Amino acid sequence: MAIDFSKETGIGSSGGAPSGSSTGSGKFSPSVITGIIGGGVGYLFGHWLGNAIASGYQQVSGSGSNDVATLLGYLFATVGWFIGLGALNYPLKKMLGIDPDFSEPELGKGMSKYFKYTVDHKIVGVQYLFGMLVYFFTAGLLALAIRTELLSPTTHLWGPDTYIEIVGEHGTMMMMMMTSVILGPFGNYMIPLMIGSKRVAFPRLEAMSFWFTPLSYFILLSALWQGGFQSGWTSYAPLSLQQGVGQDAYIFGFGLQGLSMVCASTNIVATIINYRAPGMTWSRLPILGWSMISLGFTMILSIPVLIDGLYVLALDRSAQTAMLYDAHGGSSFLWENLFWFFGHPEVYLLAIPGFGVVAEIIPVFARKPVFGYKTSAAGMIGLAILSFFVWQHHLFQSGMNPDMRPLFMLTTELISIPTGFIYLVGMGTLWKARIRLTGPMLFMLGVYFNFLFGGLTGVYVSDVPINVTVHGSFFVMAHFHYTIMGGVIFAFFGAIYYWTPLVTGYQLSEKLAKIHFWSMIIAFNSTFLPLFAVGLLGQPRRVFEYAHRLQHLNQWVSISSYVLGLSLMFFVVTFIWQLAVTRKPAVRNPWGSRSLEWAVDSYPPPQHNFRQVPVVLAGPYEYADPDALPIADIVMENKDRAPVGVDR
Amino acid sequence: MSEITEERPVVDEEQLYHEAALGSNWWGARIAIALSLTLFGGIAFAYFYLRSLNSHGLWDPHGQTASTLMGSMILALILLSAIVSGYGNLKLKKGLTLDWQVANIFSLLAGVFAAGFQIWELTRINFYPGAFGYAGVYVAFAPVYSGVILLGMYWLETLIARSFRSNAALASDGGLGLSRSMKAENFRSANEGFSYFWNFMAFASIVFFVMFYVL
Amino acid sequence: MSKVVLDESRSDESTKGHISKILISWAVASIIGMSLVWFVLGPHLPPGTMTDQAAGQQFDIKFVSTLAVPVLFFVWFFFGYSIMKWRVRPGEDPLAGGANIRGNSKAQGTWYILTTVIVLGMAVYGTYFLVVPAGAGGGEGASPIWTPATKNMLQVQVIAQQWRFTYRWPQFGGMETTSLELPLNTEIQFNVTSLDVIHDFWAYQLGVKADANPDYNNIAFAKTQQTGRFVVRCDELCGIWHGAMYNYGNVVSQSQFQTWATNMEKQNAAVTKLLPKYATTYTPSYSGAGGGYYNTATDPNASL
Repeated sequence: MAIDFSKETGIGSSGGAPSGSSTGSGKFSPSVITGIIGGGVGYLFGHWLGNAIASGYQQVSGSGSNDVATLLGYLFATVGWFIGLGALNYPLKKMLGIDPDFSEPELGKGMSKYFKYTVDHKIVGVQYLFGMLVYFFTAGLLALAIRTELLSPTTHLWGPDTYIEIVGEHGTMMMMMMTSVILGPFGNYMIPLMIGSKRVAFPRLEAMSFWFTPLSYFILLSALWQGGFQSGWTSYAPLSLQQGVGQDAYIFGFGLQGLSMVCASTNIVATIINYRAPGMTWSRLPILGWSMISLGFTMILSIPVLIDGLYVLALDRSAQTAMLYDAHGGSSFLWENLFWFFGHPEVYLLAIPGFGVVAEIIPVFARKPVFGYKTSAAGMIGLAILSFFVWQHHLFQSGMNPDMRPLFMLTTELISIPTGFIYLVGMGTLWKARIRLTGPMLFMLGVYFNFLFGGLTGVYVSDVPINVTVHGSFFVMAHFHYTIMGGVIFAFFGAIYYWTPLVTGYQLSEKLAKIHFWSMIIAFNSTFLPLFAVGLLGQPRRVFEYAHRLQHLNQWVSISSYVLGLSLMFFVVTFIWQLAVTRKPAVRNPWGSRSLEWAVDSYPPPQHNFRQVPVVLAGPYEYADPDALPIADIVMENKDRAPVGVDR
Repeated sequence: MSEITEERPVVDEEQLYHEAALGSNWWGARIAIALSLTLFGGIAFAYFYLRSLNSHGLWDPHGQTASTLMGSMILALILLSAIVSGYGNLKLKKGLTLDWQVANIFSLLAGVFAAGFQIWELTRINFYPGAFGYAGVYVAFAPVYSGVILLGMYWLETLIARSFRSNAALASDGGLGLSRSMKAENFRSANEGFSYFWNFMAFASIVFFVMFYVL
Repeated sequence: MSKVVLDESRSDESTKGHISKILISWAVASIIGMSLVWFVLGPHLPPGTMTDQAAGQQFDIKFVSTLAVPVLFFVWFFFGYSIMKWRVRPGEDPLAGGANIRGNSKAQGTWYILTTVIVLGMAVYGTYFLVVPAGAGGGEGASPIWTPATKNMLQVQVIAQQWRFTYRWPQFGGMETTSLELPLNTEIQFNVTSLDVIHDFWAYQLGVKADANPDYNNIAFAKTQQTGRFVVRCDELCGIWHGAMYNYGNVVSQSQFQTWATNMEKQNAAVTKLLPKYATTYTPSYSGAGGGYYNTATDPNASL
């Protein structure tokens, strides 16, 4: 090469100026602390600005609540947060014309890197993992608060206002977090390793995508201290127009999460398409990769509509437009359409990564190639495409476009075909397999068990005549908890048990994993199975009063939910205990997987993943082919070939 | 860890990741288009939905619109910006980096002015945001439109700054337009991505001009 | 990675034996399960048979539940059998490969065709039971396309507001009542609307559910066929007291209904005079209760 620019661009030089991701050890180096300071200053400034602008408005002086100030406060808090984190250094430097910087600053050994804006996809993955666990447990505690209220058929613990705020908070937080729960930790961490890449396409977008989430977490939670929002996670207008400033927290928190998803999916799509190692053809791509790419495209095409909807709601509340208000030429149906046009694909955005994890892990423990590789990829893509054509099934009884109901019933039921593919793949893979019932494998089988209830009741909900009875009842609530918690969350925990040795270098106890699994699946089913009956017997969602005859069922459910909570607490305690105290070092490739992520030099993987780019020679699922080449030209050492989960 | 040394094809990592970066530029630009398309699509949906419902006959009872003169000016600026930028790209292909720079600085200014005019127009509307359906959708559209234009102009600005910074170094190799160096190729692919995005925005501008000022 | 060791026994096993074992046990269990659901559970399934529409929904739930049994059992039996049969036993090589099966065009093809047929069948079935019982009790919007044959219907307007339901009776002088009594064997048209936010009128035992949208008339039909008490609940989150937004109604004989309605009409006459004229939707204005809509020219409070 004629011109040596390695110094300037940083390619191949570890000494290149780290941009936007300073790891300097100075007192004021950007970290989460400077981020919080920046966010606080930004919020105060924005709030002051909003008061300066809008305190004279009739709407504001009449009601005493200034939505303009709140929204501007959150907006400037976001800006301040990212300035404080140092995330804007690089975009600003780019305005001076530096070339794209692909370098990754060397990371130290300590924990401090996890509290900084960094561009290493593995750090981001770990940040996501713990971030999502915090989300999940916060929203899970809120769920227990709901169940406690429902111990009695009349209001007894929370006032009706607090109760409904908790319900909305639980729903919104869970929905926000579930979209990232697999993509964030495992998509970001594993996909580059699986496709044999040393880096991701847009590391800064990826890092941004994580750092949106703590902000949206705190903003959403702050609603509780401002009167909350009593309109649930769906926030139907005009109810959401009535609400106090808590609704602004919903709008902004959800909007930030939407931006986070857009950033994450842009990165993951570009990474999978462009950064596959030589030989990693599309037909050798791990199923998780297929699920992530379907997920990414679906997000890219649906999330902006959510942002539109939230923006419309924000304008109606602050700038006094009337797009959602019939009497001034708007329509409350507009919100329902915009929201569900995003909202329905989102529901499949939750399921697809779960299926990806399942199809990824089952072959390892079945010692067989994944059955119908193309079918499983087609199932993911089919789900992604069809998910855009079903949104009105949430509105069967709304009176909107009633003549379209047969069409949406058809599209909704068609979705069970690609979902069925996932079952076909699972069942085919277990056929004449050699099954090891390890902790992760149990969780995967649990996904199939739970999702079956979710899928079958999905047929009830999609059938319009039955929908008349079950719409908006606990039946629907149980249905989507079975698909989301029973599907995605079980896959999530299975993935944690499966990949923790790789991510941390410590092996988790199989025994504890099994205790966690059995307690969780029994408590989960005991919690949600009766809720189908509760819904069919006429209990609507989001109520604090219900028929006395349903009290026994509800008490059963509430007590089961405490057991479920204990089971999850058990996970937290044992997980932290094993990572912090017992620290049993992981053996190499503990599960005997062929996949590339286990072929790295050390657990946790070194900073740049591979010493050299691997050349992929075969597919990742050749567990039963004696003639198969190793997956890549780096050989996995398996000296101590004593995989866990087997009694020997 | 041992390596299989035989049969290993020689992987030029620098070249591999260079090409991956080019591909990412391509996909990044297309994803940006897809995102803007759905973002504007949601607003267009709101427009046509409310227009067709016409609740209480209050979509736009008196046929009021925002200033057509201003709207036409914004549209003209955007179209001009896109055309001039495209012209600059033609020149770049011939190796005339300076022409590209001049054309795109002009294009940048036109875009920034268009965004500025859009905000100004929003402050000059002669109806209240909540007065009728059209008013609300227009008030929603204007900030998004100028915001996306400004983001595009940020993108263009980084390209222009890059061209100034690296052109001198590449002069011996034919400049940014012709050089075969990775740096120049990366620049060209980023520029190509931007010009697709900017043409999309010009197209979207025409559509929304028709919606807000003609229909 | 060291060479893959195969467990030859897996590949040598006969397929037919496994399949017939699974299929026979599945068929037996399914027949038992389906009959239990259809004959034992079926008659007790919600929402009962108080109206034609409710009975239709009950039948649908019964039908789908019966069909769900074999699907559920097939997956269970398959997974259960596989796990029991093909588990790695202690002492065996844990990493030995199973049968090297990448797919099976016969099995996959059967699966595709079967699921497609079932799904399309379900869609046709659902459409039929939506269209024939006049919208199956669901909200059909302002101009329903699937209507009962008779035009002679009892009109009941359901007005939802935070946080209660009231009912207007255009055929009884436009009176407004807080309770809901319905005559037996009568085709009823519910005109559901709201004064403020979105509610949902759910008369559980009647099998009627329709969103109450502000400024919008959402029509649902039901034909009563049994007397009894029913509960009306709001089924769309409408704010703080959503959970307490319910009341009860009765289906009574036609003569009882006539007595009740004429009595109510007389009792309410003074109030009815003050109500806005009966309309299918109400828009609250700044200057009064319902009726009329926003107009800057006549509304002194509107500063827009």
